[in-house]
Amino acid sequence: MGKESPFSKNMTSSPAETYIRRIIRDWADTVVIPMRRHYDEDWHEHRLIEPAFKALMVDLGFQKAMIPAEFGGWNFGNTDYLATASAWMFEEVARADSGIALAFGVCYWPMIMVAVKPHINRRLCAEFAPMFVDTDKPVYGVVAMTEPQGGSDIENLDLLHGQTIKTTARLDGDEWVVNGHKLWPTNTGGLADLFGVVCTTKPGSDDDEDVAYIYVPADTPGVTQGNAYEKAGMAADKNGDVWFEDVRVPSWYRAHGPGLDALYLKEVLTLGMMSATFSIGPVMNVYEILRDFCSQKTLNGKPLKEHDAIAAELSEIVAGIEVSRAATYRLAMMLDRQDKYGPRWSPEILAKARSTKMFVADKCLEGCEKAMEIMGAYGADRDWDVEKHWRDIKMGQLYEGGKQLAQMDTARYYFDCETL
Amino acid sequence: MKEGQSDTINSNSYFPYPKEWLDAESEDIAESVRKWADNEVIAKRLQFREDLEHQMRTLAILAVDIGLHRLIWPEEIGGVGFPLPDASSTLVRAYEEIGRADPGIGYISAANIALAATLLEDQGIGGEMKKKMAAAFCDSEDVELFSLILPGLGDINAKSHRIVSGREVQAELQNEGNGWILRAERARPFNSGYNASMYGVLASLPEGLGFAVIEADKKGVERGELLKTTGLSASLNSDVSLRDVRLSDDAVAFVDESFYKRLSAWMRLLTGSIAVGSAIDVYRLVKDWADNRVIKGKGLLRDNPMDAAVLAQVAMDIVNSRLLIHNLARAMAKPGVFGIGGGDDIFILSGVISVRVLDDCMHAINRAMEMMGSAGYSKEWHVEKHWRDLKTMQVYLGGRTPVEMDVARYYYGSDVL
Repeated sequence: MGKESPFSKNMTSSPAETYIRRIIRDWADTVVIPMRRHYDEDWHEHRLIEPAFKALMVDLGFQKAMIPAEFGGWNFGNTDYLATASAWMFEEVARADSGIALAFGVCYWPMIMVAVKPHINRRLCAEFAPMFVDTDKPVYGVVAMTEPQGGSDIENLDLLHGQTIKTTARLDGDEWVVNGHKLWPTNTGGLADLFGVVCTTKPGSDDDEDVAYIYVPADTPGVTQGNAYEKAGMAADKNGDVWFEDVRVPSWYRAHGPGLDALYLKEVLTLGMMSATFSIGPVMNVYEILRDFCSQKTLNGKPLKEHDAIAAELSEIVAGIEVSRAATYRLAMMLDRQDKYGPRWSPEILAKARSTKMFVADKCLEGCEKAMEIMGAYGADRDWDVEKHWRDIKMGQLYEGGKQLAQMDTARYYFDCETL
Repeated sequence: MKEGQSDTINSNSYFPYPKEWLDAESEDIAESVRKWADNEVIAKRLQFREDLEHQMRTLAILAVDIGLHRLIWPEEIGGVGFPLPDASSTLVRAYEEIGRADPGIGYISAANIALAATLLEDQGIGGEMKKKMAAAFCDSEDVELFSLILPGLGDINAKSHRIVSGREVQAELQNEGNGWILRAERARPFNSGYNASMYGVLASLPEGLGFAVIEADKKGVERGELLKTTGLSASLNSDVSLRDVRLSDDAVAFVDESFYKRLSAWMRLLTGSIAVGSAIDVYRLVKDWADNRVIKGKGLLRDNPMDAAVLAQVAMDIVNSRLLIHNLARAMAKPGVFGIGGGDDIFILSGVISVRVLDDCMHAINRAMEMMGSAGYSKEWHVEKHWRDLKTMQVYLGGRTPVEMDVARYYYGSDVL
């Protein structure tokens, strides 16, 4: 690559940001980027992906980032910069591979319920933190949410209040008995170590009190993970069916209890919108690739970058990156300063997070599409990595309930809609 | 199925096109290709996915058994004898059906037919070259794949060649003694560079342009490594270098820019048709998906106004695209009204329509994927393959900016673009 990237490497004026970015960039440039062209064929075996993931999560220690310090972690969850720190980390990882960034982010996801202030559940942290901090293997966390019927309805908590959840949790003595079938969770397809399972204690109820979030270690009897699905991209993110058949876990494996589980689950969803960075990182890398390509390739006798019409397109790509970053880091600050902007589980913050992620994913996808068109036939080559980013960003646009749910969550708040 | 609707959602009446521009024989051909698409490809998708052997086998059925690759060649040299340019509407219908099945198969077939149409229409190309090509298309029991090396992007470190309509020619021809020498350094073919049996190369001459036809096994032809690409898996491509390839006179034709413009117009017509067919298949898939999905724990997804609006956009894009591509076919079939094939009028019209049709079909597929969420990018549903294929086709056609420059030259007289 040519000169240093002109995009700010410190969006938050934090020395930690510069330091962490540098660590991840070294890993990305030496471990992932030289090999990522082979990841598509590695979607099932993960012979290449697993060592890269281990290097990040275990060798560099990022697996510990969110866990509170008293349980051996880096304590990000117990600070006022959880979202901004996630943004730096995810953006840098996604610059190399958005699938790894997603797998990385989701490893934290189930623990948000119990390891993030102001609702740290110390008993559950003590139970599960050692999985993440006292190990020499990467640990795959999973939020098991989507079910075969209804797609993203479960994420539509503000309207449906868990009414469509089919996975059940029944209290039997001092144990929960979980039964159900989940589809598509990230970090499954045989990888999962710890599930946060979204279930109902009263099927058909539209009362938030009946929404339960229950931890299930993947080796619990009755848990079955299906094979990974084959997808358009994101090979590092394995997804499959998961079945829970009379799975028994201790009653205190429920995160917080009636009402609070639903409330904090909304926070899990809102923080999930930091996945906007999974689109920004790739398109930042597309910029780096384009800068070289447009200096080397010519149209009508001129380097592409010196062709005025192409330069106009290039400027649009860069403008999309800058605006997307500004919006996403602004969102991250709002998520972190709950004292100023309100709790992360409020409909207002959810709407702002959904709209930001929706805008950013669209903008980054548009930038990637422009890049491919500028590159002509080379834009479709695996060798240039741009098409890989294009496939990955498209997938990022569609997951977490997709574009339409984001539109509804946004409109519901801003226009006081009552039936969306 | 509601009253008044067609009983097969792939049928032609579901998305209208001007039927009066096709005769019964053309519809018969389209019907044969439709059956091929349904039986040989669509019904076997889960079994074969993107298996190259299967793709080549099905291409052979299409090209040889059904006879699509013989269609436009005159009967006296072994063809079926569909006259050009009238066959344009017939070809659109056929390539729509191929696009429904597998845009990659359509793409390599389209490159071959576009080349054949251009050679047949170009009055400057001699009978010997036409006979040689006719033999490849009409006499062989296998598919002879032609790979096209056409103008495109240049490289700052490579020798610059002549510029045609703003694009850089990738090869050069030099007269030597009683023959020709052909040279190119890591040229990027339009299709099938890795496994073609023949190459068709547009090359710079000291004065003007030449078109060369060469066998892939000729001395000096060097194929690069197989390129992995986003889509169009049936088109195995690689860079190709031509190192002092010696050619006889009958392998080279003197041509001018009209050759490139004519070839581009045919290629745009056929790839646009493939895109429409591909979007029609995505419509079928998303409809199937939406027919069974429930939203908010109750009503069908298709009955939700927001989702219905997205689904409507998919259909609207297809309706518009189909009408546009059939209109391009009609314009190409009427040179007395719309301009001759190698002229600027049709070259520009084909560029404008091609960009729009590809954009709209991509938009339709993108919207369908948004509707389907994770099923949209799951290989099992096949929508993502259409999406990858069309994007690949779009960029292989050169993208938007070169066409915008063509349009500016034509409509505004910009002469330095």
